[in-house]
Amino acid sequence: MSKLSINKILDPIRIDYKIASSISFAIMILFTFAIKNTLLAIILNAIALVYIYIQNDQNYTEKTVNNIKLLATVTNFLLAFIILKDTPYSLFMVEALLFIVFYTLLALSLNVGNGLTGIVNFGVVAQVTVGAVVTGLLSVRGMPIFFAFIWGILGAAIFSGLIAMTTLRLKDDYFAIVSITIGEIFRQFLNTEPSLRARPGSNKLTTPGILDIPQPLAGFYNSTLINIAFFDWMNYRLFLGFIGAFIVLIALLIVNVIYYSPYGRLLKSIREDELVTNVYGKEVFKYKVIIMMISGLIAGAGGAMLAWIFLVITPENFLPLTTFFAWTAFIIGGRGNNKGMIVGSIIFVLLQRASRLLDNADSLFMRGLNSFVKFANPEAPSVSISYLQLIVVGAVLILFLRFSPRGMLPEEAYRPEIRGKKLPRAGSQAKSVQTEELDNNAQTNNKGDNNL
Amino acid sequence: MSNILEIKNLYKYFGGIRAIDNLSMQVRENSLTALIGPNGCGKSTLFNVISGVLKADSGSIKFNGTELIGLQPNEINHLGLSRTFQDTKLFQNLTVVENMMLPPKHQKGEKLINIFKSKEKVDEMETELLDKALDILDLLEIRHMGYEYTKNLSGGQSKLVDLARILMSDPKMLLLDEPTAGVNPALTEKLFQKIFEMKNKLNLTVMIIEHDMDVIMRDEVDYVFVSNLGNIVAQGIPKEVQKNKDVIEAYLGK
Ligand SMILES: Nc1ncnc2c1ncn2[C@@H]1O[C@H](COP(=O)(O)OP(=O)(O)O)[C@@H](O)[C@H]1O
Ligand SMILES: [Mg+2]
Repeated sequence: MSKLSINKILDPIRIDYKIASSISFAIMILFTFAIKNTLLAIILNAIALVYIYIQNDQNYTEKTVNNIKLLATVTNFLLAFIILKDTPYSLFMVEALLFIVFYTLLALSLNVGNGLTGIVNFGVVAQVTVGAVVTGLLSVRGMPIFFAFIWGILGAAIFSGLIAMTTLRLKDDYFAIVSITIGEIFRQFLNTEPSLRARPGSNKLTTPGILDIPQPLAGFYNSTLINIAFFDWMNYRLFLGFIGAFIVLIALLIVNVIYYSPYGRLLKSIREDELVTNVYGKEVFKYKVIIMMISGLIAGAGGAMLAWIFLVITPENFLPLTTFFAWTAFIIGGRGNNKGMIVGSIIFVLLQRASRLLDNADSLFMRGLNSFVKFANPEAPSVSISYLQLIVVGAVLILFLRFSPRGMLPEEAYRPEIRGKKLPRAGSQAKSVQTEELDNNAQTNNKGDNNL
Repeated sequence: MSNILEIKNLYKYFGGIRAIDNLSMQVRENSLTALIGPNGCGKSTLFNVISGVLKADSGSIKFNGTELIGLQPNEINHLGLSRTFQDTKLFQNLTVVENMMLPPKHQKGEKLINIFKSKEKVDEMETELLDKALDILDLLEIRHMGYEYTKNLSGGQSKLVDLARILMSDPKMLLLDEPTAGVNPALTEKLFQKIFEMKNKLNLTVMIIEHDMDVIMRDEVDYVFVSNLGNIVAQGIPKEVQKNKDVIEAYLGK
């Protein structure tokens, strides 16, 4: 199943990308409000979204296309909120939103570290832990939540900087291994260190954990002012989701400035070839340490978000699995594309959570699966949903790495548009006669480029 | 004319391989110097040691009077010594212009605070750099490739872009490692002409590694070093070197 054949099939029904997307948008909104059957509405909306994704119009820049894709995905997700409003699944959507925010922050952190600079950081969860624990501890001990949050993200940044300074001189793969270990060490530390346990008004806990963590703006929310202003189905968790979305927005703005600046260009050069960047006069190590700190800042914000989502944090919240989930969202979204991190997290979280919906021992699917397993090995224990989740996520990751390693929203080239200096777009160059005749092996390997 | 580069008693062994074995040489300022020698005789290793990519075992390398041994590659670059690699190491997933806008020194946008605080100044400098990059591309007649990803370029185009990129850092001296390797003969000639042109226009000192003796034996080359087994076995102007008995031996065997 090559992508080429899919594109060939699509050719007759291919129209201008912007027109196609506008129609799809209109259809999505129409379906949302006109179709009473929720399942049908969701499926049709999803089809409209997929249609936007499989378009492959060369007439627009990658940036335009990616922006439309992002807009379509986010719109689709928000429309699902409206469709599912009065169903039992509205709760599912709110929880999904919270974790989308969480994983977007983690994926953004990875995008700065790996997508931009090429650092193979498998210690995301360590950065998250520091952010969560510092925010949680300080606010439980009475510090205003906002300041606790600031200390939390700064703590994660400083921690990441220290780790980077001591271990980043290692080669990529060794650093990756060390970074996994650091997360685990920190988790064990959390298990045994009494001063990292607390609940409001008491520091003497016998079991590890931080309990009753205060949530941001809870007082403001309870003052009911906001309840009147918003929809009737507003609840605090949804409100928390919006707070998280706001944090994501700020992180996104900051990372975007870095991305599309000379600084970002320098970081990309490090990603492409550390040695050459060094030989061209740049102090590579310094930049890598700074970038680890920024990635810590963002992952730390994710940690604070996690503390607010769970209210109670224990060492079990910080298993290495979180790191690999973050990498999955990052790869699905598109390494090197900030907007892609939102898309990647939406897809990842929905997949992960949807497979959880199957967690019903009586469902046809689970019964079928169980009888199959029992048939293969009568001694085997019953299948648990936690394994199924991992299988689904793993399979999707493999499919992406195999068929679309650049992810849903591929990286965009930085092409400075400066007054009066117009250069032709990549791929559309008209070769001058002399270079053409001298080209011994001109390649045109960007033709088969595909987005899905 | 004074010497811009002075190497004395330089050693670099890789285990049992004597890549550089008590090598001494001087390069005159504003000259076009060639370093030739059979494959594996330590030419690239010499460039690696000069540019700080590899540490020398012992010896001294003075560039404009400054000792280079012990300096980091970025510090050596800042002294005005720039190099290319034998296997054209362009940044594959960046455009030609992006590749070229990396090397300039002291860019405003290299400080994190500046890209948030003094965006105007950063943009101003970017415009200047882009102008400069486009001028150099014009000079090399490859302006139309400016926004192309370098992974899409052919071998010959890559070599030209490599040359364009190294010129962006305002070097005093260029070390070019086989700038014409893997390029067809017609483009080789053109590339050489471009290098001479650049050297004269920008007042550069250029040292070129070649393993093909015929390519280098031309009038534009001021001085030739012949290296074998990690040492200089002959040197002089091209005509002299050509007649030297040791050279014939190194290249043709006894
Ligand atoms: N990093 C390295 N590690 C081990 N051996 C090396 C290394 N670089 C070069 N060599 C060896 O040093 C010798 C000289 O290599 P090189 O300088 O690349 O030769 P050339 O003159 O063809 O450029 C060769 O025998 C090569 O195998
Ligand atoms: Mg070599």
